[in-house]
Amino acid sequence: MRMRNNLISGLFLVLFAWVGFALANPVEQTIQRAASENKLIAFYFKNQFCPYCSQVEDFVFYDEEVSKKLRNFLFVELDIRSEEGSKLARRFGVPGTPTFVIYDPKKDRVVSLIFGSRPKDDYLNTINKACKLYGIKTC
Amino acid sequence: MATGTAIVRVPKEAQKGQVIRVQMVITHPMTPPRRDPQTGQETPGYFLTKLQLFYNDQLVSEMNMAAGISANPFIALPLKADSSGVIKIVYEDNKGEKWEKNAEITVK
Amino acid sequence: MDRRKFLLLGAVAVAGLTFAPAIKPAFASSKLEEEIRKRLGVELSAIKETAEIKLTAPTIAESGANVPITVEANIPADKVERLWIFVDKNPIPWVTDVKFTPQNGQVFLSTRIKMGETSNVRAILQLKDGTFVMATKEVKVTAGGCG
Repeated sequence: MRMRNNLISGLFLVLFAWVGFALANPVEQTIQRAASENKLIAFYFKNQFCPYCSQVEDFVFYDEEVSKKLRNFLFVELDIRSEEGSKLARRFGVPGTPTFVIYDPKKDRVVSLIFGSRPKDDYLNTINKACKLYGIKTC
Repeated sequence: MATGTAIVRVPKEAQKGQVIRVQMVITHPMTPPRRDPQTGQETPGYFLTKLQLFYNDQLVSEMNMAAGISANPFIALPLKADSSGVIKIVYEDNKGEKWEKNAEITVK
Repeated sequence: MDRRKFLLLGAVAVAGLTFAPAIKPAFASSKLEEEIRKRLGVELSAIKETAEIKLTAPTIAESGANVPITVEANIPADKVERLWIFVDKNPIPWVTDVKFTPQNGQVFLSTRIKMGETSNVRAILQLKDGTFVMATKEVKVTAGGCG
């Protein structure tokens, strides 16, 4: 009898956790996934009408070195006007677009934030600092 | 305006031997190739690759370009006006689309 | 360490420093130098600046996506083969090239280019006699963002 009760409670717990995960929005799911994979997240907040976003996409993210280093992170692109985007933007203190945020999903904290169409070396320095801090060897 | 449409401006009249400016604005996004930050996969971009300037069917100038030129390119090239006739530009992009646009000039 | 050894070490160091700049090109070729070598078949260092080319571009560009440039040369069109435009710090430094013929009447180009960050813009003229000359202008590109 007790065995069966335990089994049922166990099943409910599993169901509960699964529902909890499924109900979480995609961004929350990504944060949880990154945490479980031991990865940092690179959030990129953009606005389709902001020409400075095109600058960053054309000149920074296209750069071979930046692109290679970014593959060590989980990269999440967000429209700052979307529900998820605006919520996270407020949470991180994002001033506008383009904004690049490196986030530690386990400690729930922002590691670094860059705003604007800065030269690719500024982005490289920010990425390198995070890689060094977290000992990411392939970065 | 639709991609590939062009405005060509030349003086209506010119003196024989006068060097005029052929001014063009072509509607085209001139999108550079992009790399997906997660996968590293490259998308080829979408941009004009060549522009030719003809004067009474004679090829005068040829310009090679890619996405380093700004969107909706503005281009001005010089032309020595010798005789009345047609100034034509022929231009193409990296997807193989080709267009042309004419302008007329009277030379005194 | 005795005095003789110290002097010898010093001499070697000075000799090394004197010849080091000559070794640099082999190891530190920038993307610009490689592009110029590939497309023009010459070394950037072999191209001389000339006052015969007037390169007009803003000292500070309002927008890196749209930088207006104008090139005008005193050299007659029939002496010129091609005009090349390069931006040192762009991911692909080559921007455009234009073939001129005598029917152009003049060497002139006006257009708008994209720049990722503050960099030199170069207008290089390839002459029919096989030589190259150029004009260089630095354009500052300020970072921007949308509120």
